[in-house]
Amino acid sequence: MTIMELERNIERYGVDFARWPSALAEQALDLIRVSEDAQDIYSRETAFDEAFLGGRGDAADLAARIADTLLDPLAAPPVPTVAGRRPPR
Amino acid sequence: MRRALKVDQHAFDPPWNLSGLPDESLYEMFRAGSSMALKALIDRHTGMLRRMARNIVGDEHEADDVVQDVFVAIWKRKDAWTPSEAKFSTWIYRVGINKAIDHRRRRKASPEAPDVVARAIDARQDIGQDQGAQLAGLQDQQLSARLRLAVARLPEAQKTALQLFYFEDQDVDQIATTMDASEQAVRSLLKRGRQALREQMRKEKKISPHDHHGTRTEY
Repeated sequence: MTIMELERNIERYGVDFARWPSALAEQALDLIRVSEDAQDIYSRETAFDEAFLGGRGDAADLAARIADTLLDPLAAPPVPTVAGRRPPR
Repeated sequence: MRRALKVDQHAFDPPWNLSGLPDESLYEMFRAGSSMALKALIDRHTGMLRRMARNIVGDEHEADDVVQDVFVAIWKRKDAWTPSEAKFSTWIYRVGINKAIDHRRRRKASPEAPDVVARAIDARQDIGQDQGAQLAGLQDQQLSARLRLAVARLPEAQKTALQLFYFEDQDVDQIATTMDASEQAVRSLLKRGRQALREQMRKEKKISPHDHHGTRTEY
């Protein structure tokens, strides 16, 4: 996929990849992964969505949790979320 | 001759009133050891990062994980960004996008039961919003309200297309059917509608220079 095709597909499907045909989504993500221009286009279009649809209280909640997790000297270190999933209860 | 006493305009600001500072200043303060500066950056960029992550990984809880990973990475490595690179906002969104894509690809490679993630989230302490986060949320809501008013003032066809796309989750094909228009016409309406809204946002100067919503001049 080229940059121009990415822009056209974003115009068509939006920035939510759940709304894209899956094969096209993967092509777009391949491009975005390797191209800073594509990343910037994607973040610009997402910024518009974010402004248009409005911030949500749950983002503020998440921000507060992250800040408290990182900045509380008594808190446990952040649990890795990539390599080691939290064990199920 | 008496010299005027120069006083930093922020000299007597409460120590937590950092919301007016640009990202670059906040990052430098964070590097120098200011936890409040990091908190201000988290408050400012979490919404956008979360939206991007959710759009890529397709799951709200995993999007939250991605956003946390971004800020943990920043917290751990204070020299991760330098001013000679792109703008801080550009850089952090690039980081967020890449982490979200990596997360999506790893999940596809080794899918896990959704309830594992849900239980992990449930295990977190429920921490209430602080004043800064509430203010950020309120400002976002106000911006959204202004944008909705701006949409209402658009030409009818553009307004309909944008509303169907953003509020009804219709894709271009569906909108074309709904509006009895061609796909090309619908794409054109969406594009012109977005351009009109961006122009409106710029004219009203409702977006601060530090707000990520207005980082690109082609807006």
